[in-house]
Amino acid sequence: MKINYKQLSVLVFMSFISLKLLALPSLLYVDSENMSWLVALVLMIVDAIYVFLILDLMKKCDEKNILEFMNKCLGPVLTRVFLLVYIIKYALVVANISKGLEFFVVENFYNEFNWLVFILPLMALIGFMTYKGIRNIARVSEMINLAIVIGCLYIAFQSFSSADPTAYIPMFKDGVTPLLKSGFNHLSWFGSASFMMLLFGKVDFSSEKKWTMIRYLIFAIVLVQIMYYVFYGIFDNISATHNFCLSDISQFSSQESSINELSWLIVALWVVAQAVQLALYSYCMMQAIKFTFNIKNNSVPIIIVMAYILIWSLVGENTIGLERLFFTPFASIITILAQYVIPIVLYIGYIMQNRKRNAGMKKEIKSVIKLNPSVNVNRIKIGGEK
Amino acid sequence: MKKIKSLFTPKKLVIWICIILLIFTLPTINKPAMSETQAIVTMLCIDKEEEKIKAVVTVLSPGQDKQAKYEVFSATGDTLASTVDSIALAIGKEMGFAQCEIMAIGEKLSEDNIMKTLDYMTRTKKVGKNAILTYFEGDIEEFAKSITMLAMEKSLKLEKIINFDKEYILAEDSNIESFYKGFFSDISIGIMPKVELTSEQKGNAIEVSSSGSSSSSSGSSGGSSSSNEGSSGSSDKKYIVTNGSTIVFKQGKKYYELSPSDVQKVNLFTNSSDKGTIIVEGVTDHIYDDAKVVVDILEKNSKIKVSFDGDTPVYSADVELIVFIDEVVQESPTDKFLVRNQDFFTEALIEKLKEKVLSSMNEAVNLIKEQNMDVLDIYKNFSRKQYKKFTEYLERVGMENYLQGVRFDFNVEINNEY
Repeated sequence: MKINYKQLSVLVFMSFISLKLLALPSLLYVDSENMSWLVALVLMIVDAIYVFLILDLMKKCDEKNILEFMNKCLGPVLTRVFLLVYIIKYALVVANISKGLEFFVVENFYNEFNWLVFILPLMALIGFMTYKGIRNIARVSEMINLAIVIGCLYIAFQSFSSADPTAYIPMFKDGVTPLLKSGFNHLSWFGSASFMMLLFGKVDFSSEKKWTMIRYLIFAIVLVQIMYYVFYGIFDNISATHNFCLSDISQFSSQESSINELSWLIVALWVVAQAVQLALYSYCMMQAIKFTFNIKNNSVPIIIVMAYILIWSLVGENTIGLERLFFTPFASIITILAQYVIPIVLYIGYIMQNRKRNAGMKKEIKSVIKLNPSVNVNRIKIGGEK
Repeated sequence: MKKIKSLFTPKKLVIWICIILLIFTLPTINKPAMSETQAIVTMLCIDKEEEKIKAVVTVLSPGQDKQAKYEVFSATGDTLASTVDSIALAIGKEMGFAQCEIMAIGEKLSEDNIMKTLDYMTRTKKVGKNAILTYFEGDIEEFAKSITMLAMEKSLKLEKIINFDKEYILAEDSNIESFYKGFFSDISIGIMPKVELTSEQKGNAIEVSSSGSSSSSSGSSGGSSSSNEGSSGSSDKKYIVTNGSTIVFKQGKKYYELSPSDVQKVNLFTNSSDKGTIIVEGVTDHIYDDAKVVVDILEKNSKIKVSFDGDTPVYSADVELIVFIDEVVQESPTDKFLVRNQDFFTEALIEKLKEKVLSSMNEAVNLIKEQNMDVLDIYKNFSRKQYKKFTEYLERVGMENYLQGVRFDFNVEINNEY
């Protein structure tokens, strides 16, 4: 079952905003202070550029899945290595989302909360969605997309006037180095286009409209920047102490508001959005495992992914050391490979493969001409897919 | 694989769901109600008593007759954590601060750095970020009981009163959040509204009865706890005063008390509080004859600009007030007062108002310089908008004296409501 171009755009949009509106703003503030918004902006623009690169590759893949396409362009060994990188990348994102979701629910909704009560049914749901395939996940994303956008904007504009615009100046007070450091340390929160690599051959481009993806990407970047403007504007020098951007903004100005509960409803909706994101990356992780280890059915990789989420939920809480390992240079390097290096290598591989084939075809044509001098060379199409 | 699949057929899936539900629901049914194990703290008052921390909490107890009841408990200890634990041990419930709407800091505690005590609230038992932070004077237990009685007798909640007053008071967002922001800024200044408990009737006082009976028991962590039901006991009259007085904290310690009139003057610079009144006397022209005119501020737009004139930092404030005439007190009102469409907003009145506002602003600046307390965010404005020049200026004059060298330029414009 394929998804259409608009559904892919929605998935990209959700992937662009999902990890950015919880812990990331406060984490960025530690290193880059009032320039954190710029770090996020630059990295999101880079991600957006890669969306188009990967889209181009998806169109060139000729209905092949990532395994077949990589095999064709890069050979089996490199393919396996790269798919392993993707497994790690998705595992990191899955861990990040599930851990973020846990802290979010426990800190915001229930004080003493047995996380297992929440995660077990959630895992059943995610397992089911993963099993049903990408179309299912895309449709749910489509359904909640508008509500999420309106909700975020509502929360942001509620506190918009309280945001202090001077919180953003002076710019580059400590130079560019802290920004680069911050960007590198938090790269694993970006690389939002990497999930597209596992959707090769699963997107129907027949309904493609030129501006759909551009519109969604611009809107995702603008939405995140509006939220960051409000967040850093209202929390200013204590931004690093606010772990949950969305809910903390919603609570900032809601004391007198009689529609306080509406904010909580929106925050609760965010949990649903995160769950769908968890399903999306679980699906990608499942596919990557399936391709890497040549597993024919979906059940075994799904069980592996669900077991991974469960283990992470059970042991993750007290393994700060492990978290540090996951969310600093190691995770950043994996993200660089998965999002920035592999697509380019694949692109180069595709071009070289094409050239090789063209050269082979030219040779063939020459031999045909030698044998049959009456053949009109101009009429023979050289290169391309057909 | 087939065996595993056969375990998850649709029919068996229903059985699995039932088993999972049973596992989680049965123990939950046996559990006591949350309100029996956790105390819903609605107010926390902290002060010092003989070098120990004294905490008084108001706990909301949902009654069976759908009538909520407030109870007041107190304890003392070496730290806030041990004090709160003492109360928890005494009443057999864990303290839940999620619904805490007011945190009141006592006079004696404010003599030392209060952030040492408030630290606990940020680490373990997080108070809601919007909990109102207020300073009080008077006996801590009496204060807590009176505020509780205020809610019970008059259905007036202190947090609602302070929230309403925030358009008139300086400590606009007087919550923990904004206090932290101020404390952790370079100049470490925080402000809190003052709530006073007196036994004498004062200006803006609300009368409440303060109930009496109490019992106490020794706590295991060196503290003692006492409880008092707000709804019972003998009573004597007390007055709660919230007149806009504001306490300025520097490095976490009480530094200066701004009187209500000081607050009004300082407020002229800020956009956050845009209400107030201006009274001018001796207005004389073709309409007024030595009149006392009271104008109400409807709207205030204040634009702050910071710049450098050579090496001198210049803080300019352009204040536009939109006012309407609220009251005219004149010995012998003339028939001109009866003329409809009469323009009462005369040149003479405007001049008088400008004079008054300018002198108030000058007084505010003098006070700020005199007390060396930057409640106008002068440091913040300069350090953000004129970073390089201000850093050089600070190197020249030092952090302690930066206010003294700042030149203030004011421009006031007064318009009537139309």
